Amino acid sequence: MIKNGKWEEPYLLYKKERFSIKPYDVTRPTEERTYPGKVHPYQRLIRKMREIMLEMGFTEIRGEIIQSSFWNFDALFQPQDHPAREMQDTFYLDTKAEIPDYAKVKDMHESGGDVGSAGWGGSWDPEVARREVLRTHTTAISIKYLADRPDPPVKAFSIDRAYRREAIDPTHTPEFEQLEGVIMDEGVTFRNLLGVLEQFYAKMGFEEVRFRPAYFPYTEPSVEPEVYIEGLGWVELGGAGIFRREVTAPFGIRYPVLAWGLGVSRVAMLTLGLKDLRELYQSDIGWLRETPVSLRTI
Amino acid sequence: MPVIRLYYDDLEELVGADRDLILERLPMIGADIERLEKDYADVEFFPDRPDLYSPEGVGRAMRGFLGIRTGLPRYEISPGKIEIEIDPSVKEVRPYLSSAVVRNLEFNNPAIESLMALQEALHWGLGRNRRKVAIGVHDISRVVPPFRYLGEDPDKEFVPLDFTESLSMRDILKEHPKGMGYGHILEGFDRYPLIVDANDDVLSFPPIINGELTRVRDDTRDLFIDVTGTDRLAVKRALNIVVTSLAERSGRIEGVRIRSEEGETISPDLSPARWTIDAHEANDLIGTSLAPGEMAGCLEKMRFGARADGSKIEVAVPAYRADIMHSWDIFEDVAIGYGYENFVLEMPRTVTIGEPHPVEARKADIREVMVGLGYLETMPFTLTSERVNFEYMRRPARGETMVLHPISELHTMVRTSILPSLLEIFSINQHHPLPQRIFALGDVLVEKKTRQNLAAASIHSGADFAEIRSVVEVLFEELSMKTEINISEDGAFLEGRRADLIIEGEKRGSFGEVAPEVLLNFGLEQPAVAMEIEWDGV
Repeated sequence: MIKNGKWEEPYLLYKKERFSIKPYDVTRPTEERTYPGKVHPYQRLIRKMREIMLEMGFTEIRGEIIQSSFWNFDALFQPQDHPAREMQDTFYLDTKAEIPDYAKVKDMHESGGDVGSAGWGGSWDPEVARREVLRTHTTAISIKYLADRPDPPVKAFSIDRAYRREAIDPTHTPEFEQLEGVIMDEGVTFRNLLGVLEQFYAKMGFEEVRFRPAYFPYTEPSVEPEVYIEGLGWVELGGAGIFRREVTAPFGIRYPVLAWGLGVSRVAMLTLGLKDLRELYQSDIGWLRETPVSLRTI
Repeated sequence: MPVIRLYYDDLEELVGADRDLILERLPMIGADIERLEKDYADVEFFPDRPDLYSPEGVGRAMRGFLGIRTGLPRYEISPGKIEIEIDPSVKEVRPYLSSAVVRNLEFNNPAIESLMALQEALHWGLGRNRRKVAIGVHDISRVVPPFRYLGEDPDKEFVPLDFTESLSMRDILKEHPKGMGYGHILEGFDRYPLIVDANDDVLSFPPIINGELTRVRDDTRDLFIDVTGTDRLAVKRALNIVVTSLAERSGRIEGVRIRSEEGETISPDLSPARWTIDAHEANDLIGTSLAPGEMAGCLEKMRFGARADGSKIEVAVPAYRADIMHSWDIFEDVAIGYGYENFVLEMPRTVTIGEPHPVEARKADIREVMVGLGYLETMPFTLTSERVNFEYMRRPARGETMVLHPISELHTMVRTSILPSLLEIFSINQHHPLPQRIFALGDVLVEKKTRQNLAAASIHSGADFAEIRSVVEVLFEELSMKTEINISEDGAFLEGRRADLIIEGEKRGSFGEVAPEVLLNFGLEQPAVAMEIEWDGV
């Protein structure tokens, strides 16, 4: 009966008579909405970036939130009197850390080591380097990773939180995600760095990229990529450069290190249409529920 | 970073090109155009190029970059009769001084404005807020040389700039706005730096304030410039930037004889630093194949003196450049002179296989399970307060990391647990329909070590122990984690409805019905259940 379809009519008749069931108005919306569990929209953006980095052959790295000033600043050749190291910009702790053998770093700061640099002059104080901070950038993790693996090739990335002593407002939060990638290999060049950046941004959906000179204390040459966004024009998105010799030489790194980074929350603002960064962290459950999983973003 | 105001008319005159071309090309030497107004543009320059902190400096650089006038700028220094003596008494508080005289100035409006702005920008950029370097400019016609730079008794009086009455140096630090702003630099010293003339009249009390006597006015023609500080090189560079900037207009630089214990020098010294770079090395780093002659051309556009000699290039670095400390700094200028827009992009040939971090891979698994259970992911801050992290949760303080000088009382420490943040999220979302089920994955800091936690919470009228217990069971089954469940003492949960999570004999988390006092602390009006576990390495 089921096979030849003859069951249908008597079955419906049976249900109708037995339970007096009426056909539903299937076009009517439900009264009570179902809210599915979902991954945070910001996390989905981070996941996409991770996938891009993994596809491009980078190894994912992580590190401690608490870093010594040594890894956060000194290893990156930030002079000890640099304004970014001041209390007003950095979360310091009242504790000090063990630091590795610093003779070469000290020499580099004071007199430029043996790479033909002038150094910063003055005297470098290990006690200042021992002071602990909440990492102000993920570059502290990158340089430590490279110092442990000075032989080429290294391609590594991280997407993690960094901390800056900033008052909260719509475009500033005291903690925020940074993406950072490094490539260390024999014969890699500044032109290669620009090539990687173009690929990375293209995979993110930014087809047009242009490059502008920039300044970062630990890279030379340095560059700021800008991407073209419909309706906004050219938007600065991240920074990049080649680690200075003053940074790499003390750790026995002999080949150029191409490095770039960007603020992930800035991308979120551009792609999720956010007006206020706090939305990412102090979530409105309504916003999380209403933001579709398949958001046409980047 | 310093933002410099560039008036279009003035800029066109300084560069010798029209404003559209200048503004189009300006970012390509390293600048951010902040604002374009009718008569002027506000442009931000980077900390490594304090020589661009004035329209005159920008004009000089852009003339080179646009090919109007390239190569090393030459500045004449005429011999002068002005002398200044550095007295040993100032050695301890502020040992270094450089100075110069610049004559024949015409202080029309943009010129005086740009000098003041340059001074301020250099105080920030090179001077570390005047501690390392401070600059004073004076109308030299009001004072009588020779001058003296000495450490003086803080009770010495003079009339500071913008005042009509004389004040002791000690009182200037208390009463003058600049004294209050910068007085801390002199803290702990019993003699203060002072520059006086032959009649003991005061030119300057560095790094605080000038005397009213030598105020620069519209009719000032000749300037005496003093730069003092704690870093010999930075002091000289700041002076070089100021005098060459003035010389870009009508200024004529005149040398000052500086006498000290160390001997006599003539200041300023504008001789270029000499470098020899290797063209191969530069090409290898930036990825170009420029012939040495072409490379020298790029550097000339950046206002270096450059002469190719075989594969080497002899480079003369202008005395106003403060950023050249290594050959790669010169290579960068080659790249900028070549033009970032002219690079043919190429991927590196480095072949590697990407690998996710195990912690991140594990997080993805946990997310899958939690989302499957109907939980929404949240990503709260890791900064919190002792009050929320411990007190509100009825938990004793343990293992926390406090930050020094927190910016608000809401962010005094890094969280040791994520759950309080979830309850905070509930409290700001009470206007949305229940049930609400949320989770968060992320870092916590316990005993200064970064660890990985998962917290989940559910709030609605029917929330009970069975609900959260089943979540815990499913979660650990799916993650293939072996856990034991014991009776708990955790004050965050209701007695009799709370349990500890034990992994390999160690307490790693807890769950249960949130205690009513805790709900009240967060202003919640419905029952909630919750769990948290430290899963790192499990």
